[in-house]
Amino acid sequence: MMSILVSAIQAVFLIAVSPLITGIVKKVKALMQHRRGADILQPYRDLAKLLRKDETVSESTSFLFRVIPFVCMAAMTLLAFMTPVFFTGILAPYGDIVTLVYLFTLYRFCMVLGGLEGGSVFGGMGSSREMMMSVLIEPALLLALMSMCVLSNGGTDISSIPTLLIALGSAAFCPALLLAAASFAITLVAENARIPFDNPATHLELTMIHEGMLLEYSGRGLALMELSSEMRLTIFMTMLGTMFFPWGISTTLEGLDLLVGLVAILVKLVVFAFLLAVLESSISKSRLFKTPNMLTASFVLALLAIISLYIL
Amino acid sequence: MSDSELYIALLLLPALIGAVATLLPGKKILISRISLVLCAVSCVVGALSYTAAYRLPLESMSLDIGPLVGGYSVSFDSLSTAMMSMSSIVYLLTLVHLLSCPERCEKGNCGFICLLFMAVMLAMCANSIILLLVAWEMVTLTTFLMTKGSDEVYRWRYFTITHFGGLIIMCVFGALWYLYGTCDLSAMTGLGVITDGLVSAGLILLLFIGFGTKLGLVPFHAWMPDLYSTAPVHSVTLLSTVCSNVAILLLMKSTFLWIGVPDNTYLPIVILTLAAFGSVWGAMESLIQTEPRRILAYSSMENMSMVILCLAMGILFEVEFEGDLTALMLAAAMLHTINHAFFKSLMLLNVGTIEKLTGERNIDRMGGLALFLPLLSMFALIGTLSMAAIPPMNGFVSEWLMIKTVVTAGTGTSVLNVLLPIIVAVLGVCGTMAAVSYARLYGFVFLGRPRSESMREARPMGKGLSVPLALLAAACVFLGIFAVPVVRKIAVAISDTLTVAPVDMGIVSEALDPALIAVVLALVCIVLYGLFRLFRKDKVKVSTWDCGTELNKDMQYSSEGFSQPLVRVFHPFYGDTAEVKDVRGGTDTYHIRFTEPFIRHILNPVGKAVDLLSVHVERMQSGNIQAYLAYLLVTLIVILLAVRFI
Amino acid sequence: MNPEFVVPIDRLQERLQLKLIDGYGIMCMYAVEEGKMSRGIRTVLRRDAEILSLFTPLESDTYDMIHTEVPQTRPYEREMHEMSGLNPHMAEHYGPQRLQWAYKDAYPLQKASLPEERVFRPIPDNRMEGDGIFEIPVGPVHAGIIEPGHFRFSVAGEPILKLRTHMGYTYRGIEKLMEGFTETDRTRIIERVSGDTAVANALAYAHAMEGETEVPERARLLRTIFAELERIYCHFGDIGGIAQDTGFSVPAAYAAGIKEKILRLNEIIGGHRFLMGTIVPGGVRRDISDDSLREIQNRILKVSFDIEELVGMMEGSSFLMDRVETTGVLTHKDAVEYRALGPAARASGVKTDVRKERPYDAYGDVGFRVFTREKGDVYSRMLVKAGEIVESTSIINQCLDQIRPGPLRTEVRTADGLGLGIVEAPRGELVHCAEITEGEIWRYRIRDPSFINWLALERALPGNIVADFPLVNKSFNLSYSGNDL
Repeated sequence: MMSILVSAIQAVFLIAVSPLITGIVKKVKALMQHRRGADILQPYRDLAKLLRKDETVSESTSFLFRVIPFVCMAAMTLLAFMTPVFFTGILAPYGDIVTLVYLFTLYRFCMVLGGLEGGSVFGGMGSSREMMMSVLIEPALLLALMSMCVLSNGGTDISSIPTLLIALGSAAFCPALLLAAASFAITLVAENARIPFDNPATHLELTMIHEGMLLEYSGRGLALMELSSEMRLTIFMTMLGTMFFPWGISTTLEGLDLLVGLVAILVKLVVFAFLLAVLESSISKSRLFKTPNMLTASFVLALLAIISLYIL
Repeated sequence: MSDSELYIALLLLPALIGAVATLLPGKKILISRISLVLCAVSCVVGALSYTAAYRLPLESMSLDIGPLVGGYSVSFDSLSTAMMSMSSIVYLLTLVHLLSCPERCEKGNCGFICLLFMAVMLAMCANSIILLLVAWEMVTLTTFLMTKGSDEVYRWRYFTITHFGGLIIMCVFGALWYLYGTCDLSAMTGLGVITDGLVSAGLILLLFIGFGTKLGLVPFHAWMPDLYSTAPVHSVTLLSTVCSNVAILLLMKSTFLWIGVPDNTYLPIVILTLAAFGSVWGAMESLIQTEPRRILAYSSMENMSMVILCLAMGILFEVEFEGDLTALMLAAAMLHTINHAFFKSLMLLNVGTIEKLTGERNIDRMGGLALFLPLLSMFALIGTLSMAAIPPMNGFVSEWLMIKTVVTAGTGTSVLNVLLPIIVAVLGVCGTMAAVSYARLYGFVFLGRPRSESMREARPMGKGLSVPLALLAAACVFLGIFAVPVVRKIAVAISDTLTVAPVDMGIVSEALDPALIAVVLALVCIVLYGLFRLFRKDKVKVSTWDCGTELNKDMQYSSEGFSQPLVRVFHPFYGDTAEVKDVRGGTDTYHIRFTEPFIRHILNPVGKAVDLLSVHVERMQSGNIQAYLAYLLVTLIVILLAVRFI
Repeated sequence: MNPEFVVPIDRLQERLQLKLIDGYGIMCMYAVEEGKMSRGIRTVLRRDAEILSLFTPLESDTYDMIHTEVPQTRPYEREMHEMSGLNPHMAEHYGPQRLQWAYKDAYPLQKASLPEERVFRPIPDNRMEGDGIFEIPVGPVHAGIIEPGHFRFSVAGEPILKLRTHMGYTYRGIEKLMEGFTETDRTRIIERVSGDTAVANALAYAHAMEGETEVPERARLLRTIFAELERIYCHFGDIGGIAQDTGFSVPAAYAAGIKEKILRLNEIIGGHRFLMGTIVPGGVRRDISDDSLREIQNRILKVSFDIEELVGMMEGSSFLMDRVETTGVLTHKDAVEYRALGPAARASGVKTDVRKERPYDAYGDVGFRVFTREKGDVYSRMLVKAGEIVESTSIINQCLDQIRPGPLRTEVRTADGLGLGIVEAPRGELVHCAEITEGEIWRYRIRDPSFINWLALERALPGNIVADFPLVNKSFNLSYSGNDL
């Protein structure tokens, strides 16, 4: 019962903290550019604003267009339930890391179909580019997570990875962990449409990927899409923080441990957000057809991680 | 009459009567309908075979026809009956769909459909080599005859390639007969004690190639896209689903039961390489096709290659782990085959329905159908999600099971260490590529704005068309959500029938509950929807964002454009050539051409020879059904005589 | 005075082809209305400092067009068709170039009053056919705060097969307005042709009006300083824009900061951030104090370091270099054939700079280099602009050294005939042609460099991917309103 409650709290925590993480990234980026930047709470205000608005919907869209924001949000909520945040145990067999990857696929698939709705060129453009990247992102993601399974030697169960990694202690710090984490970090950046893969702040329709697919959304539909993409970023960071560097996470349900876990994950999220902002400020967006090279690098890193585990 | 005899009679006789009925002169439509209904009765009986095998209990039984043709015996094991049931359901729903397309109900075609059903059932439950070979030949022949209407070159290509496979299969079973000294399949429980492992390995490899011709294993897939795109859609559906089921089942049984897995690591690696390549190739090629049917053809190739990959992994696990995970891998293969049958028939019939209602076959003239045929688009969406392995649909569960089993295998011998990550990567790559291809299929057929007027003028879909689609769609959802019990049953059937260790179901049931996933997803959606309903806001209908210029039908992404980035990334594999002709003052033109290297370098030379041959064979073709049936009979008799006196 | 020749219409093509072989380039071409002058086509050619002006009398509105044979005349013939009603049957397949809302049975530059009714000129449909070809319409409403223009790409995926630009959303009828009004008003109008080319336009206007008038030395030096300050801030904006469009936010913010500082300097010295109202025919409007001159000197000193820092920052990023190199190549051949102008041409290896070839104001008295690059890609254009910033600082420094107290303005004696103002604006050669009869302007023609370079942009894009278009566009950074007028 207690673990169900904690799981629910974890999910709510992830949903609640996602806009804040985006706010922090934006703020740090602004500071790097010598701008004052918007308040870190601005994403919440934006969401509230969007939720209050009426929607404009293209007349060439089908029922799917209206359903997609709900499904995207549902996929992210389910992922929030599945991801360990400050406590390792999870509620029930929703699935394992393989399911996790496929839920991201569900999310992306919906986004892509949403981009094709309405028949605008920019939506199709975003969808087509997103699909190009996804072909390389997903296997890399799968391999990176698989190498963690092999490293922790605990099967594909999500919650056992942090537990077993902590149990391994300093022995967990092997090349495989770093390789897998590096691969995952590249995937994080790519999957969340960040520079150098995509520019989240661009206004140029012709260069858009993620934003292009959202172009037809407005009002509350847009609010859900924005929130779910903010959640995706946070979930990825949380996964990096709990499955690759789990130290600090609580393995028991005791108050103090949970508190430590909470603080740890908050610190990790802020650090990751800061690093992401620094990364985004220090490089430019890559050429569209050079992104596969980076993704291949991520793929190879993940493959190396597993093979190094077997060989070393 | 024993239960078994009664059951067999019920299973085969209606279809047989249906087939014979088509020979009657008289009102074509009526007779076709009657024969289809009779075949449907057989299908219903076939669908019950799994239950029947448990309830009745059906013992294996033999039908001795006399000294000339030997003992025809059939047996009902749980694996075969499971496959028979599932195939029968698909068959039945396809028939229902066909019944609503009167223009497709030709007498001859209906007769062949009845015969095909018999052949399929017999091939699945055959217990003697002769029966099996005869049934398999019948499957090949009837499907060939059912593709009438397709281009002759494509038909004969299919005929040649699958008969090449059939020949290999015949040789292998002949060898088995020779080695075991009997043609009774139930007596075959592994060659291990009889002969060298290398012989087994060779036989298995040959079998994979032989059945691979039907399944579209690289490079024998060359007949698929062309035949799929031109043959009648129901024939294609049966060919793609039911016939593949037979091939996979026979492959599984002969590898793991009749021949037995030899202790040889190279065998699975060779098959694995072929299958991995084939699945990625199929996914990649399906991306550039502009006809929905061709997309689905390559998708069949991809899915079947994935199943073969699973079988190869099963062999590998059997060799390396002594059967620890084999059953699970085979269950994944089996489940995926069944799932494939459902979603592929759903999608093919869907495409057939679109063709019937709008008359369009090219994806670049479609678009926006979701607005005009909303119900059809729902079914297609379910089919697409299943094909793309999106949770919680059925395709997801089988792909999950594949990856899960591979990942669970973890460390092993050095071969596995290197292979497993690569296999995961291959599964990941081809899964995502296929997902891209299906997103493209759905997106460009059903979403966006119409690219031709025929979309707007689509005729409404009748009940007869929508009911089978609805049931197939429901089956896709059902098999996804209630996958765990299904997997359990399949795993039990596999370990019962084949000589592999039973499955530890904990690996599955503790890791995945698609029902729970479905419930959570649905709950969140419903809660959000409820909240949105509660605090209602206005919706304003506007036109799509156009930057201030009016959009015409050309101003949206084309399907070629959609896949172009991937084509560019994987440029070396596609062998595409694009040219822009700059005509000054006139219209500039742009052409892109893809040539499949297999077709160009391997099959075209062979194909030329076949073409030459087919010119001579063409004289045999009178277009008369009786003549075809006579050929069929003659062929069978020749085979039987040959087999009898060898 | 420049020599003027009368060429009959049937000889025009041959004559132009010969002159182009001789090394002349068509600088401007426009139609003149009947009335105080005879109806005809004026063609102005230039080879370095040599100006050649041809006049082709016309009897009717229709003549055999020559742009298929002489590509340089293509934009001009389109313009004459749109604005002066020549060749009313000219194939509509080019679509609007300067005018989106045409007059029914009338054309904007006619001397008779214009009807109220205007019709929207449709953009011609796709003229590219093939497998999976579709069109991407972009604009006139863009997502960012930029000028309106319509781009239409024919693509089959990412690579651009064909681009057509359709302008005319900011048409204000400036050429027509210039025919009336007093000189003060005209200066005001001309400065507003294109916001960031205020100085260059005012300067060209002044030159067109001044004719042989001798402008005082202090005024000439000040004009040069103003023109170079304009170039510096424009180029900083462009380079920053390249960084911005590649999502490289830190250099973009840095460049924006420097640009802002120069704009503030402008406000201090000229009273206007874009230096409007500083240049008048005959000189400059107001003097600059010694304090301000020192201020300029201080600021300019920093600028040369700033540009080094900025370019260093951008070149240090391999991602950015990967994006700018080999992107949007304008080949030397195309640059010559279409007579591309300014930094865009110089980046393609065409050594053209009015300041050097036909020095005006103080450019004859200062030393500077003309920057060229060979490759014609985005990176070359960026480097050319960066190099020009450095040269501009040197020019300003030399001017500041030479500047002495003296008169600022003289009386302008406007002579009848063709008044030409040719200056090197930040975007390239800017030409103002004033047909002056009886002391009044009969026809005023402004040929902004963007008018030509939009065609160069169309040539530079095929083969690039759609996602790189904003970057290539930014590297040209053309003016929409300068084109539309």
